[in-house]
Amino acid sequence: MTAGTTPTADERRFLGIDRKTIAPALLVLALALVMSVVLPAIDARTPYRDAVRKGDVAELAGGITLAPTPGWDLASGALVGRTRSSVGDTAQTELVDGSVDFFVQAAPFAGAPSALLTRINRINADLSRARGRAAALSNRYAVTTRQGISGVGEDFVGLARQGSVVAFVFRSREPPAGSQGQVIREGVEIVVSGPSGAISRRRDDIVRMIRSIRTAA
Amino acid sequence: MSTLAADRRRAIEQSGWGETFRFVQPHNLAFWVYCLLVGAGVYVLWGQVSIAAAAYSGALISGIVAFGLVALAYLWFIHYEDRYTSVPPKLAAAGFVWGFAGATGAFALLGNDAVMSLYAKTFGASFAFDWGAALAAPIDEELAKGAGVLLLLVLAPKLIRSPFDGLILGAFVGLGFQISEDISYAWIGAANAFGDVGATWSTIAVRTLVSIPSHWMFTAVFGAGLIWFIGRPDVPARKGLGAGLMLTAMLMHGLWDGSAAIAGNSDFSLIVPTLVAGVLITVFVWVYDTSVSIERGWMRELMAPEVAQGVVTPAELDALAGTRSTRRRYVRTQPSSRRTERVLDAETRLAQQIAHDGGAETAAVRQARAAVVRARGT
Repeated sequence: MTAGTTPTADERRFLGIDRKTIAPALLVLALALVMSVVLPAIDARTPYRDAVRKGDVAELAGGITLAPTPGWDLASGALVGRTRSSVGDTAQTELVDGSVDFFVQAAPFAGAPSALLTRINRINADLSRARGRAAALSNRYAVTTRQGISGVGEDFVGLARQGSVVAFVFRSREPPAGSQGQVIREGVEIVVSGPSGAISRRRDDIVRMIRSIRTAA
Repeated sequence: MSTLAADRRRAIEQSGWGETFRFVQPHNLAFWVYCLLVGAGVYVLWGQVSIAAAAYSGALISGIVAFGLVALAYLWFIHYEDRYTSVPPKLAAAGFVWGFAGATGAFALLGNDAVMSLYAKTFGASFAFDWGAALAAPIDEELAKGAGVLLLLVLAPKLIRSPFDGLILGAFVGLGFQISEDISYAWIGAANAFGDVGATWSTIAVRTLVSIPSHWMFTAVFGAGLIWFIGRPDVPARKGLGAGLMLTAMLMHGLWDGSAAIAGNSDFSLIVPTLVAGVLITVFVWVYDTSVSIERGWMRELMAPEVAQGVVTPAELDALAGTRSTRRRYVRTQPSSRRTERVLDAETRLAQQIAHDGGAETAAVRQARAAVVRARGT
């Protein structure tokens, strides 16, 4: 380009792209790559550094707790006395140990444990159809916590993972004194999944954690 | 050319008023990056929507209908506030689509999950429970939405000429993000409650109630800050103010997301979000008032020759280029408020036509001018 003249289209372009548009567009592309590729990759390679210790108690929902096995990692959720925010009636807790995942979903539910498990199965069947994956289910069996609360469970076997689904319904809290309010009934779904060998090796931990669930009500 | 006519030409040139937005620009890399990232976002969102449609279709449809109506209300409001050199509908739509699909699917969904998980792994799940969202979303999401404003600035440099344009475009981008997130929360609410659609309606009610101090407002402040930071040919860069506004948008977003943890189980649980909302709205109004004065000046310069010709009166020009309260006050003081409104509307259309025709004396401009005279006579 000669000084004092307007650049031609060819001079303004690099491989057919206007030069002045390249830097900002590449900046945005780089930002997208950092967020959608680099950060998830760093996350996948980062181990947990804050394993559950003896005496820690996880709060699954308002007034409902679980004693996690020491050494497992709390991937999401809240430990009693360690958070500033309160845990609501609808909450998720996830514990992991190696390739085994122990997931708990709590939310208000008015029916019986068997009705909750039926609803969970219906949702899972819809999701399996959409994903083109199916899992075989076992017969249902009774599960009882150390507090004496009865639930219902079943086992599933899929292509890559197997595990169990257990459903309970707890009284999560009493209505305030003198009020006409109903007792809040809280459904708790536990999904344990992982490769068969890994699950077998942790069976005692898993059973102990399920049986430790209790309600303050 | 008279001074007034020269000022008019300069106002049209500086404001970009009357320019049209051409989306397809094969020689502009921003066009290809926009298409790539919106395409990637649609792909990621489709994965989610297919799950929602399979198992939570009632919740998904409820969310789309309810938040579709919320979107219409806010689109109308933002357009209503953009009353001078309006952002063209195609540019506003490109901003909304970026927020709805690109910023969510190609940036925030994966980025937020990764950052929240890293907080849990590094500082413990309880820390992430309290502070994860407040420390992840404001950075990831404001950068993701701001990236859209930057891309559109490269696609439409002649249209985005002032911080006010950044404010309005940012509002459209933020609104797209907000509605996309709202619809997700609607069906996720049902998913987290064993498929109960009642939980979806609780989510819809809460998200609608808190929709004012939300993404459209965060990104409006961020967008104005970005334009001030970069500067435009006729609006010199103010790096400190621009950076300050972008950081303010992130800070307000973080305080809003962290308000439950900040207040804890105290009696202040409602005070913190209320305070944050108050500060955010105050900042938004300040940015609006500060940046809109440039647009008002352009309107005044554009219509000054019409005052000289006697088509528009000086008082009408004050109303046209003034605030809404100035306009309302002027209308109230006139004998026939209905006729005055008609005249002002006709004068607004005349301004748009003059800008569209680049200040030339065209047949369309003459027709628009005649319409002002007719409105005055009825």
